[in-house]
Amino acid sequence: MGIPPSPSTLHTTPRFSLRGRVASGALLVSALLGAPLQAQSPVGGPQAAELYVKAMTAFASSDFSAAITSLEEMLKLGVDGPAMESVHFSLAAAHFNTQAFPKAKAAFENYLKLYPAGTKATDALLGIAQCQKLLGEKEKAAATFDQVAQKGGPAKEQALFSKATLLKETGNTAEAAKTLQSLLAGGLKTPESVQAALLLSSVEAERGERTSALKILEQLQGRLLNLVENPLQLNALAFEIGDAFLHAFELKQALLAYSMVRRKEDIVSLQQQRIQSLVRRMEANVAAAKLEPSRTVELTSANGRLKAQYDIAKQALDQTTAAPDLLFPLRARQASAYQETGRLEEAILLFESILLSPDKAGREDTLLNLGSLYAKAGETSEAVRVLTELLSEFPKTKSNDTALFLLGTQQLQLDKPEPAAASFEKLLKQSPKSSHVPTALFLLANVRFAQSSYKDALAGYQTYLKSFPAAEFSEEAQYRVALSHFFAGEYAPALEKLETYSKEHTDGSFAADAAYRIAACYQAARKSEEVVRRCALWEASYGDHPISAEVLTLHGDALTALNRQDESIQVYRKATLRASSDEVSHYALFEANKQLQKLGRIDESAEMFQEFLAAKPQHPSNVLAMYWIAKAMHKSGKTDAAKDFLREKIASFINDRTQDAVEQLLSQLAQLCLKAPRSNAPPASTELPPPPHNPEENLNKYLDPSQFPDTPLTAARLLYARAELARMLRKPAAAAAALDAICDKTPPKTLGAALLAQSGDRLLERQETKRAAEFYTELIQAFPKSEMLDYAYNGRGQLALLENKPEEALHWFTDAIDKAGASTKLREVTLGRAKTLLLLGKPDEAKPILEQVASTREWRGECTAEAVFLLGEILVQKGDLPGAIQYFQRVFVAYQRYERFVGRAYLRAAECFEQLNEPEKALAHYKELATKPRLASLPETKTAQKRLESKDPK
Amino acid sequence: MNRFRLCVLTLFVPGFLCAESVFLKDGKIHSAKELRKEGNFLLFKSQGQDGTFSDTVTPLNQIERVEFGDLPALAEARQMARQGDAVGVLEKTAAPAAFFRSFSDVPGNQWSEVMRLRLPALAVAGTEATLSELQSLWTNTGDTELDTAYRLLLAAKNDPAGAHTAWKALSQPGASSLAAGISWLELGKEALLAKQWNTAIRAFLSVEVFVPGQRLLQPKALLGAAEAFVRKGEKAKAAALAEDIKTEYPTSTADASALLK
Repeated sequence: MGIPPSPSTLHTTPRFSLRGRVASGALLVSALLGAPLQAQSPVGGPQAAELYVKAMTAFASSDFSAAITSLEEMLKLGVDGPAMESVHFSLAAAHFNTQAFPKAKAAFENYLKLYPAGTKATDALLGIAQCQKLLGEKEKAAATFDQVAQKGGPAKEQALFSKATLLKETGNTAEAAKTLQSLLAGGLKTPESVQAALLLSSVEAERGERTSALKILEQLQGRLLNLVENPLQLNALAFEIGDAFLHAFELKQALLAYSMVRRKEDIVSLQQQRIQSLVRRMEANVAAAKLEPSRTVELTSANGRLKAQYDIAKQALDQTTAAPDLLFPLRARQASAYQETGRLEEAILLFESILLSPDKAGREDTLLNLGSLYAKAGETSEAVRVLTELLSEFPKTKSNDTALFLLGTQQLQLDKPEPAAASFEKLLKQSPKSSHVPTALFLLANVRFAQSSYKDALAGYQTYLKSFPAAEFSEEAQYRVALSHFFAGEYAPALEKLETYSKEHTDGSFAADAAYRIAACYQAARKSEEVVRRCALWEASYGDHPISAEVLTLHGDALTALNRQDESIQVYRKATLRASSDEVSHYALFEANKQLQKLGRIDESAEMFQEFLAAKPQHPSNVLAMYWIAKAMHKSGKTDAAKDFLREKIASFINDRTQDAVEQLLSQLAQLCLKAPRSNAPPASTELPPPPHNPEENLNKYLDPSQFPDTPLTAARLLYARAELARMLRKPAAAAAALDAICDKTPPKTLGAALLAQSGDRLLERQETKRAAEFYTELIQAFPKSEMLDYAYNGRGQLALLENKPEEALHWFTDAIDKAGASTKLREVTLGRAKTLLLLGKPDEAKPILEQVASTREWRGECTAEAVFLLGEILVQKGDLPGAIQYFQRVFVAYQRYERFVGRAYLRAAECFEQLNEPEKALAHYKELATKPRLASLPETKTAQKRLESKDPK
Repeated sequence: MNRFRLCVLTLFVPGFLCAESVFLKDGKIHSAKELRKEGNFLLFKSQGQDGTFSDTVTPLNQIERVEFGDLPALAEARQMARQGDAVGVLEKTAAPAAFFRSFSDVPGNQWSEVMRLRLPALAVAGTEATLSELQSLWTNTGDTELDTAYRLLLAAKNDPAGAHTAWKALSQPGASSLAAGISWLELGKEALLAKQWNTAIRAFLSVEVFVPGQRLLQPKALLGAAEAFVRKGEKAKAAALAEDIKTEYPTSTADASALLK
């Protein structure tokens, strides 16, 4: 991970010479091209003239060696005249262009000696300065550039620029900046000034004046971009300045600089526009020369300069086209800047964009960076996805160990211990020398610990401690060794390790926990007195430590074991209020209640629950607490007060669908309204006897709809209370009608978990499969942690069975057990699984389950009848007809109440007898079925009657 | 030309009587003032060597380019754009837009320069009226990025469903065009309304990350992201963005402060 290298290959040293825009290999070509060609032919006869033309032609075709030969031959001829000025200057230029700088310098000096006021005097001086610079005579070069600048004119800009370049090269950046600033005093209007600004920005960046460099870079954006000869230079500069800010942690400025880096396609487009513009200007000049031949020389010269610019622009374009795209280095730098400021979202967006780019450069690093960022941002699933992709796409990635380590930690976060373990194991195997090995080893042991594989966990911690005794988690590993023994039920070694830990780490991170576990080890050994002693000691030492409630419950358990109920009640009550986990407070509360009920201290029980309600108003055990309070009130004869209490609590929760225990209170209220209140006072003889108790009226009194909010949920819950009362009054039709009203009038999205469950079951009973599915689905989606979930999973399973989709049904029934615990619906789910296995053609797997259903006393009822019937069907399938008949007979003898199965059992028994060729017995069964008035409406009875008619000899 | 445009030109053109350089294809350069266009001709007063001005008429096809002087209003608008002041930019560019629209077929005109400022300003602070005005004034700039942004703004007004499809298509991660920036802003707003906080954050921050050069879009994008963070319950992140807004875009400071209250 890290920032990719800067695009140093794109840094192009500004290449300026006399006119500023020519590559150093051919410094003077464009600048001097016009001069010799415009000169008059020298005097001296035809030989000289011929040599001159030859020299100029060679010069024009860049054959400088040939030009030098011709020009030197001319000089040997001893030709004289004013036109020889051009010959001397051209000779110097040609030497320069062949990079023979000493000769060039001598020739320029000679020119100046011969023509001190010549038309090219300034250019010659500039040439000398360039030669000095290239020959390493830097001080002399600087002085000569100054001389040129002092002369003013068009060469001044060039001289100052060259001097600044020289100063920068010699490390005199302050002086270079000063020189460039004076050059730019006239503003940014020409390509030359823009180049100077670019150089100044680079100089400023180099001397630490980042802000100034950035300001100049900003100025070069927009319209001035068209004047930049090679926009790649601008990009390189933006990177340079951005990096300087990034290293100085000035991140906003770094981002601003990076924002000025242009994509490759943008630069190509920009450069193409520039080239087209130059071509248009040259074409316009050619057209103008045709119209006005007198301007030919002037326009040809102008085109020479444009051609030079064209060549440079074309070269820059080729360079850009060949250069790699800067997307990855740019985005990686931007992401780094955002990441440094904690702006992970922005960094993620940047890396994601790299992955979507068709350019695959940096993909490996990007995936790793992205995985790391997702992990930091808590987007665990995304981290896992990206890291998995990285390892699959680049199985030999250089960061294999880091990727596997990150992947493992993220899989742990997602509670996927097995894949996490696989990642850590792979890391340990593939990169045994990685710096991630110690932590991976420790985490792998933690995974095994969490999976209750205490033996593996123990081995892992021991290896960790042996290999890395001073590593980051050594104390915790030592403690976890003890815990592994503890949870494996090996209390003797656990006690030994815990005591060792406690001695070695008296103030260790796990000291309090260790003391608690030591006490628990004694509890396992039934040494309750020692437990009580240690718990008391613990409470004195650690007070309100986060695990104090656990210690108090252990203390309470030990006191209970010693029959010291009064003390245990006090300790449990203390634990109830101190517990931070719902489970512990629930346990302590109900253990205390158990003791109080045993001792008959009902009022104290009510008081305890009241105290609990006041202390923990949002606790999930609250409704149970209310239930017990009301029960205690009722038991102590305060039934009306209990009803009032329940009404009040119901009112506060009735319109909140998330309070899914309201139905329990409604049911309790219905139960209290069922019976007439007991009156202790004897009736006065003169008084009329009180009217008979009417439970419905009594319930209506407490659940008057006008007293509650008028919402679908409230209406449904009030109906539920009435359904409960009807059920208690053994009025099944009324109960069903109330439930029907709930499911027909209330949208599933408004109901709480209990009513969704009840309504779903009611609709299933009515065979309204589609609507039942809606209620069950809402229950699963809206209440994923509800205790009623098994209703939904079972319901969906039963629906799938009705639709003859056994695979789907099996999936739902399995979920009912695995995900919802199937606490309420275990009977239905178990039978459903058996029926599903039968449908899937697996009778051998179904049989033991059906036997379990049939033999479970608590489940005795219709499901028993069905299980027995199905066991008979299994034997029919296996060809054991006598065995099957026994099961069918057991159904119609032992479970007569369940007519549905009784009719079927008679019919199947008769059919078995027919197959066994025992027609009399078959007829007897048909007759018995056909003559039972209770079974007359069954379809099986009609079948039996038809068969009897067909077999009747009459 | 419709009546509205004529009215605009009449109102604003005299305000820009500044010196320009007219470069002809034959290499001649006129120092000119009082430029105006009639049909295929450019009319202006050209300064002679003696300093006096004379009326000159030149066919457009003989003009290589005109170097228009930098209008003070445009310079101010650029400064405002750097500070994310969309309302200010709209105000300052109204007259230059009308002026350069009349020279949009003259090489060297700054129509696209003005639109580069005005379109993003309209995207964040435009009204029904300003968009209608733009529609009546519009001619293509020749810059695909700007022309696409214009069509996108108009689509949002005239064809919301089509605009939505375009936003989705244009807002590709890494896209750096003005149209992409506008699309992310609009998608961010939609996500905020739909209470999809993460989607909103990603859309708004994409403006900051991928279109940083569009300073006019930034305050709204950062405010949008900050609002989504607040709604998501991540106030510290919202506060960091608000701090950025206060530092970089002073005209939006009040909105940023209000968000965190």
